[in-house]
Amino acid sequence: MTMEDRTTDILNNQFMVAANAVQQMIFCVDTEEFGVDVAKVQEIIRYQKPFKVPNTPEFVSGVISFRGEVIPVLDLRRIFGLGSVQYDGFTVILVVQTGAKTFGMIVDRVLDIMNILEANIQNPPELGAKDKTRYLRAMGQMGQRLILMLDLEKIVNFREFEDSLNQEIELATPNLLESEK
Amino acid sequence: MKPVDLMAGEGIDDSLKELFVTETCEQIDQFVEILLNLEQDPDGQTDVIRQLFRLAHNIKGSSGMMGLNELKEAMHHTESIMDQVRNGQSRLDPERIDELLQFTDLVKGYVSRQNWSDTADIISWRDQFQTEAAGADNLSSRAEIAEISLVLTDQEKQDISAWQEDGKPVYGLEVQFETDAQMQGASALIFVKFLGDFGTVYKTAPAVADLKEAHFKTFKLVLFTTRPLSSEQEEAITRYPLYEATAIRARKWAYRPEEVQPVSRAGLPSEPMIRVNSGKVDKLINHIGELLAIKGSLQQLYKQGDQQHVLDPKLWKKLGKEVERLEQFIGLFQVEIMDLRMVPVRQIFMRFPKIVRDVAKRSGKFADLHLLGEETEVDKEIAEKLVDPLTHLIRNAVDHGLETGSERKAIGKPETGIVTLGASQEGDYIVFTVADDGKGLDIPKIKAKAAQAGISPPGEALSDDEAMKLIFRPGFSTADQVSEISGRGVGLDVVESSLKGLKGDVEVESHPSRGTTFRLKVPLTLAIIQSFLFQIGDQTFAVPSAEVVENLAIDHRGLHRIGNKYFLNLRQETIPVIDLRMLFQTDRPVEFTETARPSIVKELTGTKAFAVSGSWDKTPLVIVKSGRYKLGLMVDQLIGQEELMIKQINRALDENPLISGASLLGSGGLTLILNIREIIHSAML
Repeated sequence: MTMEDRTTDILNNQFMVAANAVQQMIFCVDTEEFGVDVAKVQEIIRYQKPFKVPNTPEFVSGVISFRGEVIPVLDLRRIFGLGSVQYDGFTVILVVQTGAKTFGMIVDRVLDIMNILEANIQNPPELGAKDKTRYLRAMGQMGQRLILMLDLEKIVNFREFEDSLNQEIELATPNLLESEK
Repeated sequence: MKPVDLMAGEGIDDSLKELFVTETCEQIDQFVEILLNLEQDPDGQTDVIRQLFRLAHNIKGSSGMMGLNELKEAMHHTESIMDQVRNGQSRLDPERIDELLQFTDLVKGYVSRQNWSDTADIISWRDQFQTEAAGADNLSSRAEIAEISLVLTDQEKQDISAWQEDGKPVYGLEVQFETDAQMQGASALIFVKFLGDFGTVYKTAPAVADLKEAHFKTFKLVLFTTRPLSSEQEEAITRYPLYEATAIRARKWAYRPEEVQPVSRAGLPSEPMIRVNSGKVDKLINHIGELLAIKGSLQQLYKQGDQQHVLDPKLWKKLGKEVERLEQFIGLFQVEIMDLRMVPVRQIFMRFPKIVRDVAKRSGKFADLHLLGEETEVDKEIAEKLVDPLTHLIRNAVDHGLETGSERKAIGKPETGIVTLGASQEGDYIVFTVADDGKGLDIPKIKAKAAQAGISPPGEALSDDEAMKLIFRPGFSTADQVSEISGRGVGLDVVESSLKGLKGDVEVESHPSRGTTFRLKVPLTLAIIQSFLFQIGDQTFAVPSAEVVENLAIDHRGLHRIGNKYFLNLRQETIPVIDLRMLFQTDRPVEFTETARPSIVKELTGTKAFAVSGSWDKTPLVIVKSGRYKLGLMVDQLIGQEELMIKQINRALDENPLISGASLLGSGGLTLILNIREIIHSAML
């Protein structure tokens, strides 16, 4: 067997694996490991302080300028109700795109890019509509590790978010602008 | 290209569909414009009928391509009617023009609705035109006969200009043959020979050698003469009894080489145009914003570096020069690119002659629309948003502003009223005027109405100006109130609010029996605005400079509290005040003190009741206005003015009514541009 043949074999082998797997960018927030579809990731940028915007939900940290566009930045810690920490050198903003919407997510650190085999992917546990698990698309098993795969479509759906947060936290003061509508 | 079935929605490219819709609408607009001119000047028929024919022909072609067979057939019959007119077999009388106008209205509606299967109306017109055109349509071979245009090579153009430069005239001649002509080749040869008496036939289309075989209905030629033809000679040529010819036209070509295109379409600019999706232009403008920001930070770097001498001074000087060049170039670039967004107001004016005509007809009046400054250019987005308010005002002017013909006659005015629509540039603004020479606003009645409705305090007379402003007041002039008396004001508040939305303004001026004039003032462009910047915490915010009245420093003793709201008394004017720092600053520690916390701010911030200002001593206050409302905004620090390119925040963030957009600063940072109108609105509640 020639060298070329072997190379092709190896490549094909990898291709077969990749074809039956979902390539995920793995990052962690608090002690949990999350994953997003690599194809949706535009860029990983170093954490910069977003410009705060009034009258936005708590989990919107603000807006930043990204490739000539002004995009919102969400704090995943706030979304998943995890306590806040001091941002450090590993803190990054993951810029993702879904549909025409581009936004950034603040995550503690990016770990890896991995293929998760279809066979190892299960539906997320159903813990009721109010539970944060509804922002998960699936759960992936990687040996001992459990990867929470995010559903970006749902995350970007702010209103839904705000409503659910409003229900849960029961904010006392009604939003003036909201009630005006 | 294979025809696609639009009605089946079969794989039709959206951009193709879009192109079809815009092109067809443009062509219909041109068609309508010509028809309206014809209505004014019925004798001009022969000159413009070719244009009408060509437009109908184009629409026929493109609708066939889109698989819209009903439209294609209807246009085909329209074309036949035009052909009959062209051949002198019929005329476009007022009824016919009326009919065609109705039809074009319908076609435009059909095309813009894009509900392709809704063809019932089109079909009924198709059938009607078919009957009307029956006479001409048996000559269906007409369509197959090539239309020949005279194309000149560069060499020929040079010859022609050389001839003209010698001071000798060049004529373009055109012979129209009957559609079923059999002998046009021979006739054309006879004509060429006949012209030999007057000068030299330089070129013909079709070429003389091809005349015997060619099928054509138009014969064109270029004639060189040594001196200008006398009017008798011209008549001898155009009246030459040529067999099977319907018309002979001669035209002297002016000495301008680029004019040497005898088949240029009338009214269209000679430079080739390209059609570009406006989204692409917006993208370019976006990039310019980025470029401006980069330039700004380069300049800043340069200034800092200069103080610290980090580089060889010579190199540094050079760098400075380059930065300067970059600045000049970007400035130039910015102007050019912004220019791409500008369109002549003609594009929106085109529809109004028809509206005036329709409204006048319906209300039994005689009205002419005069257009002024059609070449004035305005931002495309503004132009589009002005269509509705202008339509409203123009309808009003005819319907309510003008008197009836007999009324006008009785007071010695010409029977036909004149509505003037104009546009002109005044500094950074474009001013549109809609003026009529009608009866003017009935100011005494407006005043009476105001007193009755309790708008003006009893016993206190409104000035005429104040009274006129009332017509913009929402609800002031519903149909059963003022409009019944003065006939004005239905929905004028809508006109005002759409102008406000464009950061513009509307004013009215009126004189009894001399008419009413509305002045609509809009900024040149929406994309770049002069802004006033200030700081809250570590963030910079901006408001459009046009909305800033003044700024001053206050302390808490200057504020009055009425109920739970705070006011500033400034030169006899009471202005509400809010602390923007509470609204926009999230980092400051919260320290509630009754005096320092107008509760209006709590309402405004809604769910996020954050922070309170530390100190109120000598707080900078920016006084902003929207319409007649003013509001004082307490901020941390004033910065100054800067030209900002407005960017929309990515759609991932819900539209925020308090923010009209974001922008990059010269220093490289971000800023949010506040929507003053909304902030004032919320604060007033």
